[in-house]
Amino acid sequence: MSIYYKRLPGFINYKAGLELQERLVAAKPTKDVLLLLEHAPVYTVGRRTTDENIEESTRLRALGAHYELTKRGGQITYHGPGQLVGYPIFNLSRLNLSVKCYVDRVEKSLIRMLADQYRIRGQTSEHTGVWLDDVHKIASIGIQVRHRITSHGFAINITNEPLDWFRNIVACGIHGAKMTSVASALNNNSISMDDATLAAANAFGKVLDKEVQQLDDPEIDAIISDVLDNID
Amino acid sequence: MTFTFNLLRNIPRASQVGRVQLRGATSQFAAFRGLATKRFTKQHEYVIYDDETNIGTIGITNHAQESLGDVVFVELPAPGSVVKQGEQIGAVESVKAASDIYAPLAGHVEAVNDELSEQPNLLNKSPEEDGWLCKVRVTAPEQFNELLNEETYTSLFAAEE
Repeated sequence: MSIYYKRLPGFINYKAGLELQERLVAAKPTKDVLLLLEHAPVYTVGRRTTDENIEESTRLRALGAHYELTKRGGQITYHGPGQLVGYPIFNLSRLNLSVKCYVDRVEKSLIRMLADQYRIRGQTSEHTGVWLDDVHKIASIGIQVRHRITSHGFAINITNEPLDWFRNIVACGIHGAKMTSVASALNNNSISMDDATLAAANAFGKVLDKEVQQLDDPEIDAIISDVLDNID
Repeated sequence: MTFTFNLLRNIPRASQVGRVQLRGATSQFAAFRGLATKRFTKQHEYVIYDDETNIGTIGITNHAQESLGDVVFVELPAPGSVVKQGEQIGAVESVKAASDIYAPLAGHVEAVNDELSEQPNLLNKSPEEDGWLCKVRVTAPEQFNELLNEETYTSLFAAEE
């Protein structure tokens, strides 16, 4: 069984992304699907935050970003252009993975992506996510699991564009951590999002020992276009 | 509500049954039927059901906590809420992953384990005793009998590994 990836075009509104994941999880797809995309600027908080902190949300919205509550694990984070977001809609029973092992595979896939595509050495730490050293974090993870189907996923900074947005929050609740990007690590301002997308999909395939192919499924594609065409 | 909660805490059988089962003999388990018995779902929830009080104590199994890793946050149902079988009643967050939990049977939520908001890792230390999630007044006891017994449950995940 392969992993089927799909790159979504443009900057996806966060709420449309949520709706899409809801629809896919509810459809219980017979394939393991990896959606890859960039969001329009948004700050999101994790499941532990059940009520909007009005002071914080007002401040962040004033920066020109959206602010959304989510059911994923983890704390506050940012998504936006220049950051590759991945939503694996995977069936953990089919992959024979516990939740703990799944998170570990996501981390390993991102480390593999950095190594194979950019010769960057990423590492894990006591905090979940991928780090370049004790201070610099390059990728974040936040996941929801329902009836063994995963949603939400990972976000890895490719260009430097997301970094200024992160300075407005204590990302993931970790004081002292600094977000970095592939562009910063390589001191190269022309990193392509297309290359990053393909590199992420291939790394997941290698780590999970699966073939990787582009999604071509009428039913799932219909759900995707329905959601993306109707929410804006 | 306070009265009910105290009453529940004073029922010793619900906590003893776990230890009885740990010894593992099926005949011993059978001998305790009619007092409080324990059953399981495929999704790794358990219910300890006391048919005298009609109270079911719900939690996640030791196998579940092992597969989740260190628990940092537990979301519990609202006391007084009514839950249907299979409905989401909470979530457990570990390693940046929030896993939803489902009601093994229908009932009215009589009490929730407030200790878990202070000490979410009770779910790792003692999932089937101190780390219970909630107590429900069971509205369809026949649902309990349809759940998996310990032997069937254990054989299920033994096959997974």
